[in-house]
Amino acid sequence: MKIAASEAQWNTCQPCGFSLFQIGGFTKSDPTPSFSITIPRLLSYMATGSFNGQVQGLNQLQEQERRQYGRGNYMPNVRVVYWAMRVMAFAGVLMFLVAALGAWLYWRKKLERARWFQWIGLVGIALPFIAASAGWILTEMGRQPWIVQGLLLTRNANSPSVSTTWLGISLGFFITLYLVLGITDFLLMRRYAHPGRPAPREEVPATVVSY
Amino acid sequence: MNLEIAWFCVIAFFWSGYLLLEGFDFGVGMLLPFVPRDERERGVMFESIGPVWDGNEVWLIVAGGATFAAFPAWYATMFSGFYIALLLVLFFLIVRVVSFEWREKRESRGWRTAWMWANAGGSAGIPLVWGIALANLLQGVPLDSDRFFSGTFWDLFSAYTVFAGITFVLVCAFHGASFLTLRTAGDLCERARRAQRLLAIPAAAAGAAFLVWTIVVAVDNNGKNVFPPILPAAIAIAAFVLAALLAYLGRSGLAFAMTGLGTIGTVATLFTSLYPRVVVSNPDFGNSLTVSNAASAHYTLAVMSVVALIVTPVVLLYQGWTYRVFWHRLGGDEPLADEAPALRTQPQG
Repeated sequence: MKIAASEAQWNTCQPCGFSLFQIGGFTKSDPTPSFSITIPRLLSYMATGSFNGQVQGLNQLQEQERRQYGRGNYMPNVRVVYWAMRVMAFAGVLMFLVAALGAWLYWRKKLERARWFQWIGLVGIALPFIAASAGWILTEMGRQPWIVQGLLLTRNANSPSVSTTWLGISLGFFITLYLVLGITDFLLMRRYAHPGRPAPREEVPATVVSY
Repeated sequence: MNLEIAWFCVIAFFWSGYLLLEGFDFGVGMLLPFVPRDERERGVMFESIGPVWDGNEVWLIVAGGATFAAFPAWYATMFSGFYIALLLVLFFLIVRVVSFEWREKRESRGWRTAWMWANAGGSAGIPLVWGIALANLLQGVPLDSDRFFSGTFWDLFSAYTVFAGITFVLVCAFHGASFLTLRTAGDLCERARRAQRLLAIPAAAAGAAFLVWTIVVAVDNNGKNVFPPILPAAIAIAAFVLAALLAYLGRSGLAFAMTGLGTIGTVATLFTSLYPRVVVSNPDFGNSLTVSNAASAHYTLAVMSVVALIVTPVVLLYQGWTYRVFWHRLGGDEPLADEAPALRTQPQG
């Protein structure tokens, strides 16, 4: 189900193309994208190891799970899962390209002077975080409505003794705390990265902080 | 002995390890606003626990993790029942962790003072909340027929549980002061010794009173006999009294060992008083969670036992090794010329 959703594959296909980009095609009533770029047979290969493999579609899997677990909608949010997969994969490829470009510049001994590349490298710091977050969204959203596939639905898994209000308050609390810590961390890093600033001086020369 | 009882003992072991080890770094943290005279000495105090505090914290994680895996119902009831209290613990933990990392990043006085207080506040807050939480397991909290917590945050406070929190804080402070006298030199060591003597009698008295009170609560609320729990309690009381005595005699090493033994004895008393229950239900005693109705399936426990038997000795070995590497006195008036270069060769991080 997760593969079908992350590929927005509504019906079983054989062989299946891998969609790089598409507009529309994310709901049951609109299963065909109005525009898409697809690499033929690649999805079959990635999912089954054969260029002619069969990949089950969302509609067929829904029918199968409905028979197995009873009435209900067993499809995750296809649009979110599809794009989370794309953002993760594209960010990963981009990271590789940036690294390869850097290696090439280093080999040609141009790395120190290529300011344009240093800017790319700086912005590139964000890529692993974006890829990792998108990966988590893919795995958590792709699992819905189950929290444990086939055993426990997310809506049945909450603690009866923790109210929605307190879930909200605690989530807000963590968001605020991490936001404050994140901003402070950013300011600290900017201080340290500032050109012309002398390296931080140890206040206690006799003792070395080694943790 | 069946596996459920074995894992109940393992969890008690993890809790004693946690309070024994993290106990002294909480103590050092709490003493930060009082013992050092200047920024340099404050830095030395931070460093005395710098290499070990996060290793100590792992014991809490394994205690929580073992509860989750071996007694899912205990974990569910405790962690969602004490939701707000544990939210507080997380807040203190996060702020305290950051204080270690960020304090030295700027030289401004205000910045350093703020992080010093963040560490001290977290160091006092965490044992306070854990004391209250663990005492609540024994005193009893309202559980419904599904054995879920049905009370409110305010149900967690009673004379006994609050006293437990205060006792944990005092014992940690005393334990930490003894640790400081062992790990520092010169003037700072002298002032740590004074703090240690100041804390000795209140900590020992609170510890002893808490243990006696625990036996009373075990008999009243958990239907226990005075015997078995009286055994670990007697050992712990003796250890606390000896610790205070040894502090006055200037035998810090032994005093530190005795507060450690007292801490282990206190956890042992709490868990012996709990057994066979893990969360006592009050007022509906019949709804209590027990070792058997909270446990995982036998297969889960068997797999966990194999993993634990292999991994735990490794963890104990490398933690012990960390202590050995960093065991030297810090921060006398003399620069630590002969020790500093040796330290520098240690890998960072």
